[in-house]
Amino acid sequence: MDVYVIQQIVNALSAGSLYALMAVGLALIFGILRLINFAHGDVMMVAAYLAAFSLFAGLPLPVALGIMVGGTVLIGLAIERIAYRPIRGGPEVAMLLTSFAVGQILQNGTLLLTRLASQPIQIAFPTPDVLQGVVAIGRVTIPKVNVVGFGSGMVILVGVMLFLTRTRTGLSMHAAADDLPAAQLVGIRINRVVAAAFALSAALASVAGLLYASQAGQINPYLGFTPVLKAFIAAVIGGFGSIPGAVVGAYALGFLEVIPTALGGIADILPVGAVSPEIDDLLRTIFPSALGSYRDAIVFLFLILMLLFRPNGILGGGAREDVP
Amino acid sequence: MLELVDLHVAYGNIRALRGISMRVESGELVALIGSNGAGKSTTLKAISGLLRPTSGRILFEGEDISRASTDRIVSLGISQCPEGRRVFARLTVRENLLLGGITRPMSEVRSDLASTTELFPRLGERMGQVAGTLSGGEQQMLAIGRALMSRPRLLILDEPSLGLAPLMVERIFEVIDGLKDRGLTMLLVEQNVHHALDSADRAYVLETGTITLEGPADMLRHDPEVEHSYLGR
Repeated sequence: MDVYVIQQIVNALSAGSLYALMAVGLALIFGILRLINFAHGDVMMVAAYLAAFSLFAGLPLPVALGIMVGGTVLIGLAIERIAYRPIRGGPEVAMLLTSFAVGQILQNGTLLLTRLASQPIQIAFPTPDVLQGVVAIGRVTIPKVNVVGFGSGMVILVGVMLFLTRTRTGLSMHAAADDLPAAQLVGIRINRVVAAAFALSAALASVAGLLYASQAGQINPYLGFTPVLKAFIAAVIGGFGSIPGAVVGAYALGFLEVIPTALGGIADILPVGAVSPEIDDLLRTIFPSALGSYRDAIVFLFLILMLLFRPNGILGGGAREDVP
Repeated sequence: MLELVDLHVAYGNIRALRGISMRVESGELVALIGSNGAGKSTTLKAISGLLRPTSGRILFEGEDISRASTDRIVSLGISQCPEGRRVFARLTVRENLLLGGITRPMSEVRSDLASTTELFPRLGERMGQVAGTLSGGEQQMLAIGRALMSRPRLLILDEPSLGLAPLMVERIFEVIDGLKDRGLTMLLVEQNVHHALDSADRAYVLETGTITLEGPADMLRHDPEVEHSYLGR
């Protein structure tokens, strides 16, 4: 039983870190610009391709990772400059539609490049050795990618929190999110702060892209859709626009997702003879082993309940109105 | 120090400022009064670079700043304390003050915290408190304190007494008088015309985008039209 529970917890933490890396990026941008950046998943996808092609080219891992992070940041900055800056302050619907357009361009651009490189749509991801195989602790075996994912996610998130609360640029981001005109009036360079937010958000997405691709083992130009949707749900659960909320929501979602699988297997992990056959039958009836395949349905059900009963999210508390 | 020359500003087809000229000399406290919609906020936005004039010039110490960015204008020495206070509600008092000095080196800004809290002891007691939880008067103090952190040579105050309790209005004007005694140049937009004319050296009256009256504050206080329209006598 211990082994099974520990494995599920590690799965939850690992998925939570991935969602958190993505959700923080969404929350950063939304906080300042009121823009729901649905192209974020596609930025993550591009990062996975940058890593893959750098590794295919035989570059050493640190160089490949440098290209992945650096290239993704440049793409994030270019998207902000070309697509979002001209419509900044415009209607939220216009910004949302623009983000879909940017996503489409990234997907089709990647598709085009893979065709030009004579690669199939779906390619195997050259997962780095450090992310391959399993870690064995006693009888518990955990995929390395999950351990590294959780660990690196936590380290990066703590770093981001420190950056946002301890540095001038971080405080400027908070100020811009709180009151953009007032931030301008104290002399904050809004263009610079927004660019920094996009750069940070893209860097986080690139790490998420590497982890996601290493877990999945293969990549295609459409892989960003599910992660960005999950990150969006995580951010809503936590309290949209709040950075700590995004992190809390992401780990909550990670755990929420493993619960159906965990419950589905509950009858199998009880020691033989621990419960009477009647109870064993009952458990198998209430929690069929196929419960895990209803994972997304259960997550969305929870999201609906959240929106009904606590629309401001876990950390949202009461209505967060700006003080006039 | 500050001079507006034949300034025109339009929102689309609506002409908000129709050629206003005014100046603020070093060490002066100049009041800008007028009813709602007269163009006071538009004037301040143009000075701070939030709005681009359609024509005319804004000179600060001889340099034309009418096309400069807001952060450049703040670095040059013009700081605006916005209407409605607009403190960063989710940040602490200390963080608000530190951000007020964003255009200056961090070490200098940190050492200025002490002089600001000397001016506003209430803020000093609440440095770690989130600004959104302060009272309206405290938030106004914080907004002024934040604007002072850039060490402005010209401080622009937009409706500093708006929505405050009478006792707090007195306190705010004490602060303004104190800053004037220390030689700070100020441009004050204020619906409390009584108080504004008491503190100011000179004043301008703005009506539908044009300056209709100007002169020493003492003189305007006894002007029949000002008495009738703004002082309610």
